[in-house]
Amino acid sequence: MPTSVQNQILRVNLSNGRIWTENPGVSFFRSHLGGRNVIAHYLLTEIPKGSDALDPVNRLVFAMGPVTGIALPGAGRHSVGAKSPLTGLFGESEAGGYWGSELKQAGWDGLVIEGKAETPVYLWIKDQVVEIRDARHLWGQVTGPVEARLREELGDTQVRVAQIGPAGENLVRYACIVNDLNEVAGRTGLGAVMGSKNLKAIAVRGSHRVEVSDTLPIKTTARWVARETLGEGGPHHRLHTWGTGAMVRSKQLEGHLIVRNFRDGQLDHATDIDAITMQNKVVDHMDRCFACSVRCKKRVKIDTEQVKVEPKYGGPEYETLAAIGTNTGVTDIMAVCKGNEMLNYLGLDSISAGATIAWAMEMAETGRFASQGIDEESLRFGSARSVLDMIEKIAYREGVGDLLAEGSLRAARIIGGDAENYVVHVKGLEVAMHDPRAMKDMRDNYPVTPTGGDHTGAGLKRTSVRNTVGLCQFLQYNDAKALELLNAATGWNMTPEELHETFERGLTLARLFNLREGMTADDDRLPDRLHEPIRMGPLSNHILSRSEIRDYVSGYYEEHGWDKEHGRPYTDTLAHLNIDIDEHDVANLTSERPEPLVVGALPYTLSLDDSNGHEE
Amino acid sequence: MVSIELGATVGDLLEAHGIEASVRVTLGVNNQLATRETQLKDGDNLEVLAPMSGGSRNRV
Repeated sequence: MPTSVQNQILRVNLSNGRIWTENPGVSFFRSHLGGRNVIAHYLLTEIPKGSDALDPVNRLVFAMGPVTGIALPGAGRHSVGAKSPLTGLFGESEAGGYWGSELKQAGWDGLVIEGKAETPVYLWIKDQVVEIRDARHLWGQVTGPVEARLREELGDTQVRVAQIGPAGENLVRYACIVNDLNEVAGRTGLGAVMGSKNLKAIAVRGSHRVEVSDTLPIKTTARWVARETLGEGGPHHRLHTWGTGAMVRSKQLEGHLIVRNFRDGQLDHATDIDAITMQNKVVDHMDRCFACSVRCKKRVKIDTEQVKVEPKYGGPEYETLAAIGTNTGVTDIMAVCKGNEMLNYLGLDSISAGATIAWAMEMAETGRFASQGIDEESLRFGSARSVLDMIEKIAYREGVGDLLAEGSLRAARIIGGDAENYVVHVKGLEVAMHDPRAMKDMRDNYPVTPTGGDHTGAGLKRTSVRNTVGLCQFLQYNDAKALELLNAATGWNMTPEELHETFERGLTLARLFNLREGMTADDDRLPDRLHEPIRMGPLSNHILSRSEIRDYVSGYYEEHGWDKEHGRPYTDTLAHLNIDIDEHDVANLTSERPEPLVVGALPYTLSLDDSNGHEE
Repeated sequence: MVSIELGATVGDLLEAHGIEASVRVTLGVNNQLATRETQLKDGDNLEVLAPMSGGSRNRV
């Protein structure tokens, strides 16, 4: 029977040059799907407890979803994971574009890289032929020239490239992995892991169409998305017309725009970097990910005397507009677009970079850098020059950039005093540009997501389903539609209950990894800044209390079959999810349920609410 | 073009445009957050923004 899951994981050991194929079996893929679940499996079973994230023993895992690479809008997604050099915990980030689909079309459901090459190398994957090649001539270069050079020397303009920039080479703890020049696996420092392995790039070319079990539901859904995108008024049409930048205006009005290190919810002249301004001034055209008719990705072109920005590096999404724009007090659209280009050619996560710079600006403003010999004039809120200079200094670890390359939490601990109190992070990961004081989704997400302050970190049901199936979060598929598409692709006839069990398995595996690496329930919280009121705007009287978060987190533990005090999975939860305590060596990380479950009862709360989206 | 009476509210104007009360939108009048009950006066600038993922959905 045709199926989209190919039962092939590509394994590469860069220390000894060994390349081999792993065939985990259909039952493995059916019980893990892809994304976070597959990553958690490899991290938990193959990385020794307490390993340094930049040690060759760390695994860099590229995990496709079962629908990645099929001809469906939103199916151009893949996840990347490793132990994070930023948090020391479960690291993961999702990306769109074409690279993941190309790897799937080359016949691979995943790629796991271990070890460290003696000198810089790149991987060349042409269907089932895989080579480790010399990359010394590419080391030190930014992403654009590297992609062009690889396509030239491989003789194929359609080669897809995932790569690190100088930031990854320099082990910046929030370096990202850039694919297709404008898509990134941005969060948790995966680019530094790739750099620590002396792996500059992974070039892929696949020549096979990914098979599916039943084409009809996929074609029908694809046609609906295309119609909906063309017709005015619907979410896909709005995404295509404005992109994610439309959020700047609504957040500004509602008073929860991220401004000056999360202090203020509104900023004068914020409309200078909103979606309308972008369309009028800098957007060249809207671009797509693999097989997607929504085309919500901005391509910016600027060609003035002062500023030049190339469309191949994309354009700033909302996260970047806020992170290096409003959060640093900058509303110069030309500078923000230039900054976005720099982040993509240097290989830096825009959220952590912007948040770290904003924290440093607050330190400078309040005189906390005075005793550190740091030039406070170089870090002023509202200074576009400061932001652009800092992005470059961080990527090359020059001057104060060397400190900021460690991430805001480590940097605060290095300078000492009360600097840590001003870091807006969860588990060491800088919080994304959505304020949990205003947004219930984010209040529920940030404290418990395995990766930390990550808005797509898949701690909740909707994001978990999309992460593991391999679907874009923006496509308006509800859970029933996601399941229908999964079954059409795989032919597995999974039930909603089985799908739910699958993402529970991944959440619990990631939880066990974090507990094993030293995380405690005390880390499932928000930072001090997010318990202060926003300084201005309609929400300035609202306070998000610590007790509200504690109660929520405790309830979340119970929902997932973990003990409500420490968040340790109950042994019956592990048994139900077929997580072998001995294989994973996690006996000391579990709890016994005080009252045995009623026979036949699930250890977690089954949620089959399909109201979180819509369908044709 | 839609005509509304003096003293009409944002909600009146939205209904005249076929945007019913059940439709979730973020509203602004003259750069300030507004509601459907906000009264309009001549020359007001009304913004009607649809919620997006990461926008105004699920306010605390």
